[in-house]
Amino acid sequence: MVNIVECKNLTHYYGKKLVYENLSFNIKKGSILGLLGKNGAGKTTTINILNGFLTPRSGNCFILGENSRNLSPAVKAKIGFLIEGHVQYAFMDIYQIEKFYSGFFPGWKRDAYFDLMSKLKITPRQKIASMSCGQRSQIALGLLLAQDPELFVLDDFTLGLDPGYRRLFIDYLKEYAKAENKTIFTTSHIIQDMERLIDDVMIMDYNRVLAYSSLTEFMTSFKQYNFEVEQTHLPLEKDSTIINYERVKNTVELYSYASSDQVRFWLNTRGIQSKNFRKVEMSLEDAFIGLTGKY
Amino acid sequence: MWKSIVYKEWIKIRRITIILFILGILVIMGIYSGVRHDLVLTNAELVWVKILIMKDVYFTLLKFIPLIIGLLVGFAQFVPETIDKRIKLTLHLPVNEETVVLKMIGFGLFSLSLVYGILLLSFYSLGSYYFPYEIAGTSLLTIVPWFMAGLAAYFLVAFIIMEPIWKYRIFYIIFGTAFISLFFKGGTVGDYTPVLFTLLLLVMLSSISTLFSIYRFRKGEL
Repeated sequence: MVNIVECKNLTHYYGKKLVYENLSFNIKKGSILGLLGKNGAGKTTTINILNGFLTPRSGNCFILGENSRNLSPAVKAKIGFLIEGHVQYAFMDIYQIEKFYSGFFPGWKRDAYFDLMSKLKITPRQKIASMSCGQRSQIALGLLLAQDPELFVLDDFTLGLDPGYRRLFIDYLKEYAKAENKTIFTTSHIIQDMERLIDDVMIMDYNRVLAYSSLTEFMTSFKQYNFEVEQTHLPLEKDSTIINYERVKNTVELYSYASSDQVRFWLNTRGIQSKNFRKVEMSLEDAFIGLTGKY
Repeated sequence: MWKSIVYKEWIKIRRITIILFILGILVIMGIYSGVRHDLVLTNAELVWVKILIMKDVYFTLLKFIPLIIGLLVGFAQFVPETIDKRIKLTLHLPVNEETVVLKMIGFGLFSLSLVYGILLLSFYSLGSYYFPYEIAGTSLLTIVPWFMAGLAAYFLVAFIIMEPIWKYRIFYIIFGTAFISLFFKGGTVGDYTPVLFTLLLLVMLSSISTLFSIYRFRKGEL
């Protein structure tokens, strides 16, 4: 399958602070890749590199075959970009902003935009600045759909949205992307709704990538085990088997890619007496927290 | 594409430009109604002596109006681009980054030139009505540097607002203030006439300062 985005060995620093080193990933045509990470993990940095707003210290990203350091207008026209917080030209109303953008894109789909706008309860000449975050998200989405890009780059589109608008945004976008074979790269630090949207997942922590695979593969291979212990001191430490653990009083939550038997064996070899050992079903949010930790 | 850029820029600056244009016209009308008052109702000879012999600047009320227009139009055009880093939207448009910013600046320059042109013409026409050509012409040459300062201020405001780092902004503000003050050193009529061409070169030089912002953008500093 053709890769719409290919990033190779990206390394970036802000001053002396390392953001990440040798980050590589691809986005296949028609797929939806979710980049998940806590605040400051480097999500927006990656978006900025992809859009050519930031030159990485080393490494390259190729979008639709062009290096992101110098994107041509033709390739930029094929990238739909949503800024964190659904930022748009807030001094315009919905008609003015449509008129403005339509001049840049020959294949502009006016109906797609106004179809979405018809659902908004706003006055005809209301400025975008006076609209709610949810309404602004619909305008941003409508503009993206009218642009009809090959690749959507969405920076934390869930930010500030209530559950209803989040769900509306995701359902509308997913249906459109799958029907039209569009590619989406999205970041978010609100994980709960991403499960409905993404095909592939990349989870970043400070300076490194913790997981990068298809969502299905990640959700089947990464597991949570809970058990009770009575020992006050537990010789638990993270290694190739134990990815993360949390102890709340006598209950231990343990995260691992290993099977139930392998984890039990690991515990036994370290003299940890576990009671009521069980595998716990996880949502993507649980898995994200399990992998990155609560702090 | 041009049409879209002009449309957006016009939405941002139309109100302030029209208001400031009206203000400029009112100031010029105020200056000449004062001149008329002095010529008709007080001592016309004294007015004549002050202007011809003492080289009195009878239009000081106009002095900072072009500067204020340049500054405020620059603010109205570029502050909305930097709120929430909206400049990213502009630079993501399917147009070369330098081209889009230069077109924005170009439109601002066109609007200011139009406003300044009408104000200068009004000033000269009214001057010619009350005074002989020599006085009206010298007065025009005296106010030209003030209008040049307005243009330079517009370019510098664009450059400073687009600068993302505050410590550099402060440095540029200090430099910009010193630069703009060069246009206001004269005390009598016609002081700047010999250096008008040099001032024009300085204004043209300041016009390319925004390209530096684009260079910084390319380096990822926005």
